[in-house]
Amino acid sequence: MSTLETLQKQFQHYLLNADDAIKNNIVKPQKGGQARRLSVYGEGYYLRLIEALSTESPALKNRIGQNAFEKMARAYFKKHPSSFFSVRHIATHLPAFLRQYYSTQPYLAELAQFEIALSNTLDAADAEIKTTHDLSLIPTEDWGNIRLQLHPSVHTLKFEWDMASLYKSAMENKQIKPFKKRIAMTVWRKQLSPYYYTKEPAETAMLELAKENKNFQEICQCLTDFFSEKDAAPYAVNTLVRWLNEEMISGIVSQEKA
Amino acid sequence: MILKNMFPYLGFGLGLRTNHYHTILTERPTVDWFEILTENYLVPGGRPLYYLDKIREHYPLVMHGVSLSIGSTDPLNFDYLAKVKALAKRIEPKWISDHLCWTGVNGVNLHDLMPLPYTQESIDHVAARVLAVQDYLGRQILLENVSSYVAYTASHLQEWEFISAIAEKADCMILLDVNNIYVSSFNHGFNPIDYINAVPKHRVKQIHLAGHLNKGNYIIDTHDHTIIDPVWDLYKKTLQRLGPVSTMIERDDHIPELPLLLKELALAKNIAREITHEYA
Repeated sequence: MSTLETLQKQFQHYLLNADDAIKNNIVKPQKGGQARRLSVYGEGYYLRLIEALSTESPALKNRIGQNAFEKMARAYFKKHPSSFFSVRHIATHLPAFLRQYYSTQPYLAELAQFEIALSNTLDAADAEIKTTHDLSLIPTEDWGNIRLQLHPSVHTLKFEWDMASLYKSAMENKQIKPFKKRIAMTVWRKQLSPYYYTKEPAETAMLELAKENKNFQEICQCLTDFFSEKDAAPYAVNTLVRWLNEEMISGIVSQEKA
Repeated sequence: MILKNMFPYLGFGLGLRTNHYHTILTERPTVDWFEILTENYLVPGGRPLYYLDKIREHYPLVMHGVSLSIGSTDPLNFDYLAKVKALAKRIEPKWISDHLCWTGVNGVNLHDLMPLPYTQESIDHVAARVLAVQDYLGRQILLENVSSYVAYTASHLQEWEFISAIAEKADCMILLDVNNIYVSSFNHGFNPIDYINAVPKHRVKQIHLAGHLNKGNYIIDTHDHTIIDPVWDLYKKTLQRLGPVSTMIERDDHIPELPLLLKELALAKNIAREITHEYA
């Protein structure tokens, strides 16, 4: 191993594991002491990452409190040192980590997962935004054949806990008792800001079928599991109009009948 | 093909920070150029790139990275470099810079600018990697001197000898951080003027100015304070030796409203104007 490689591995080992072998290769400074100088890097390492993680996870930090957050974050970075070129992604492994670290409070892992999803909407790929005007240009008799392209920022997440109330209360720095409720939530970007809402099962099914590139007729047919045949189509149209108004649709592809 | 010597004098710039986006776009402050933190914009789309494109319509930009890890013994990360190259194609920066440091090994990013030992081994290692990066990006890059708090027993060169040797061997340029010179001179007990007098004049294409935190026995490069007088004095001496160099102020924490940074930037302009008169 080269001298350079040895020094870098020793220094990194000091930061990640407090192994002080690097001390033997560091000059004793005239002022401040060797350990103190090294600790500028050692303390700075965790402080920088904790600050970045709190920026990515404000609701989680509010929910568990500053001290617990810092303790958790140190344990997290010990287990998952960053491999990302930007601190923007350092929360990536947090949900999986929290499932073990806070195994008796599983809603915290879900909260972290939700915050990551919200954050990801902000810099998801750009795409055209379709409007109700675009839909109106397609003759209604052809609507059955259209296929929808969701905006790249649109994602659906499934939770075991009522994430809407938990996230909202945490952001307001209020403590509520989390309650179990299986829900699906959609996150997306509108006017450069993150949005979310809780979806009904029928809408969840619609979105999943749209993602699978099913045409609108197939989507409507699936809704008969939730509504009468008479009500399914109006529900589908109303939902599609809402998606368009919410900037969730990037493509309305009118295709020939298969 | 590597484009060479494409380093126009840009005047006086600031680091582009998110909390100034709105003011910049609505008030169009008199700033000659902005330096962006490259990694903040290596994203598929959305808000960061929206504002970047808007600001680029009105101001020249330069890209300043923190994750190139040019001194690491890990292989170069070409996935990262591909993103840097794509961003450069999008915004056409005047130049691209990063730091003369390493930021991690074994695939880890410490998100800190770790010092290198000043040895021939490091010079050979870094210069070879700079050449590879420049070849990939198709342009010369600038490397910035970092602040350091420790020195390695293995170092047998002065920092200014080290950075100069790499710049010559790799044919790259230097982003001279005057505050970092001040910080490191305090921490390691050298004369900052020796540094200024030794750097190759023809390679310094940009200057950074910033504030720091004095802890008594050592100084930490925090970028969260105003620039202190000794750093201004050092800046003056730098310009006296080097002549006009594109200069910007970095502020990364406790970021004030834009007018306060503009006031600080005016001080840099005044110093440069005095020096120009001296030259005349």
